[in-house]
Amino acid sequence: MGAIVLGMLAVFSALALGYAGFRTIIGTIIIILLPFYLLFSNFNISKGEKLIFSIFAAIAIFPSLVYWAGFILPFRAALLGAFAAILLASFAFKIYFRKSQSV
Amino acid sequence: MKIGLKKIEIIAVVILYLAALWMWTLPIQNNSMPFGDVDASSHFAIGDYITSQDKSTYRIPYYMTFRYSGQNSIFPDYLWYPPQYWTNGAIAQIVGGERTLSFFIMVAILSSLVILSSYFLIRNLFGFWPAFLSSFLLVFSTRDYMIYLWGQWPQSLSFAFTPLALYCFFKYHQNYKENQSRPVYLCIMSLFLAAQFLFHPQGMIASIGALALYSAFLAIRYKKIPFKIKHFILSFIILVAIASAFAPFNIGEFFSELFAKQETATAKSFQFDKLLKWYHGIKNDPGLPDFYFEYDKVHGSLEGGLLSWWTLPFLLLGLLALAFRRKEEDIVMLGWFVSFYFLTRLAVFGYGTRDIRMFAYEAHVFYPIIAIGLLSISSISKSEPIKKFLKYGMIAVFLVLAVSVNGASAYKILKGQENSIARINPAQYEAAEWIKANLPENADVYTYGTLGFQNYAAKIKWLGVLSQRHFIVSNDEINMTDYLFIDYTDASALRDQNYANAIQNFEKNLQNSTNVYSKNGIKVYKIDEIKI
Repeated sequence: MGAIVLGMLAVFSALALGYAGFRTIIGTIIIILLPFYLLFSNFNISKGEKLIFSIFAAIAIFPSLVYWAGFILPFRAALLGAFAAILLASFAFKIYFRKSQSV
Repeated sequence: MKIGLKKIEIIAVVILYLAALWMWTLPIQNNSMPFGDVDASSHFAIGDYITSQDKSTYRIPYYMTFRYSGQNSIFPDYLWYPPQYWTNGAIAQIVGGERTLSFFIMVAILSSLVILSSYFLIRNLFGFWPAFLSSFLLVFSTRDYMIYLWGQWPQSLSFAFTPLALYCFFKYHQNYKENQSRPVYLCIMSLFLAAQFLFHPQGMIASIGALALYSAFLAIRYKKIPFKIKHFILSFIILVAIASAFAPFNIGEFFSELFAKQETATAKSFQFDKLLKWYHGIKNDPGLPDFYFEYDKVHGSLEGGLLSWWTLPFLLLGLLALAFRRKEEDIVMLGWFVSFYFLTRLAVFGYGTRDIRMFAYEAHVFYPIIAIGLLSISSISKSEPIKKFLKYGMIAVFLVLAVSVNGASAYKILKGQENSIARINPAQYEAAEWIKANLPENADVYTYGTLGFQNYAAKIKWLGVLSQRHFIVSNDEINMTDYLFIDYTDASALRDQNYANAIQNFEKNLQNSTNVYSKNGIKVYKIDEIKI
């Protein structure tokens, strides 16, 4: 289902808004939204909550992290750094919850 | 191949949101030049500056100080808003690879997110059809797309979080009633309240108002406080911690403005009449057009007409249904509605500077109630076949009217932006880029010929932020002028020879000045002294 939705977004963005639109929309989903969706996937909440919470948390927290990192790193590097940090956090949570379940 | 109902719903919502995005990107589908009135250029400026410097900033750049220095009353030279909205703009420019188009696509996404958050809340409270119909109508919301065109983007995004804050408190209370002590939903609610503060505190105030009224109604019903005090304290700490961590230079400004009272010299001695009129007689407001306070135009078609009133009976029916049923889901909406009423009448309590701006989220409150009112009609019959007929008949009526009345009006306005003369044209954009690359950072530029002093100088402000140079918009700055920007392009677009002649006459005075740029109807002169 996720692939279908992503496909619909990709086709729409390319047709309506061209290459820049495709890059902006798909890039936003991958770089900003996906890490937060993976993070929220570790918690016992419904699929709808995971999706909506991750969208709205991402647009507030991701720029916060990038902005403050942008004082010590070049802004573009801070963007990649924030992406990596959230991804790492989501995997760390995954491992933590898996371990606590097996114990 | 059988497709489950859940998958059909997901596809329907995706199509709905893509239709919204298509509608809201009409201004930029065939024209990537910037648009937006009033504050739009300001909200582009900082993110764009961050991208160009490849570094974050907390100080206002030189070219913006003339407009915003001092607006942050605690740190006068620092950013006047928390930086998160602008940073999203910068991220969009980098991810999308385009300076303007990528930014405006991000703005369209952020400005239309309320369609998803509203769907999520109403779906969980009332089911698919109230959620789908109300979000469908929100696609054409005049309140929302006007705020989008005017450039009040952070405020617009901030209001989109209110449905989620309400949802989280609703879920918390469901667990609380069943003696399950789980503060997780309150913690997430605090995260969303903090996010509202980061984008625009007005959204946070709207949520706090709705939560307060919802809690009050719950307290009356269940005769006890609807939350644990320690959970409330925890959520308050989370809100303060996130806001302080991510917007430390804007906390003081928020409290400073919150406790600023309206000047009593300009306030009327009694304003209780505002409690009895919905739009409380607002007319001739310097910042907003009259139609903004006419129900038929703002919730129907801007052209007015009888059909523009079509939502009002369903709104009244919806309020009756909520007040009659009073299930907990209904109390959420009633609390939101009543809080909206009071927040749009802050002038009665001495806080008159922001109550008019609170009307911006009126559609978010009204449209779910309208959908509920419409769907409640089918309950008048006890016969199942008639109920079904009424339900789907009313849904069809709703969709037809939403598209033909609200949708047609919204399409006309948004499509009309595509070639609006109020937008920067390619020649102006190219000249601004040249200025950015070639003139000193502290250059002061006066434009002669660009349309706009009569429209809050929106276009001139755009030239300023695109060139990242100070473009003079105030008469008391004219003597600072180092460069003159002589612009024939708007006169040419209007095919106004008198206008062009006036610019030519002015340009004759510049024979002894150095022409540093001349292209596509725009010239830039280095001058020693301005004579206007």
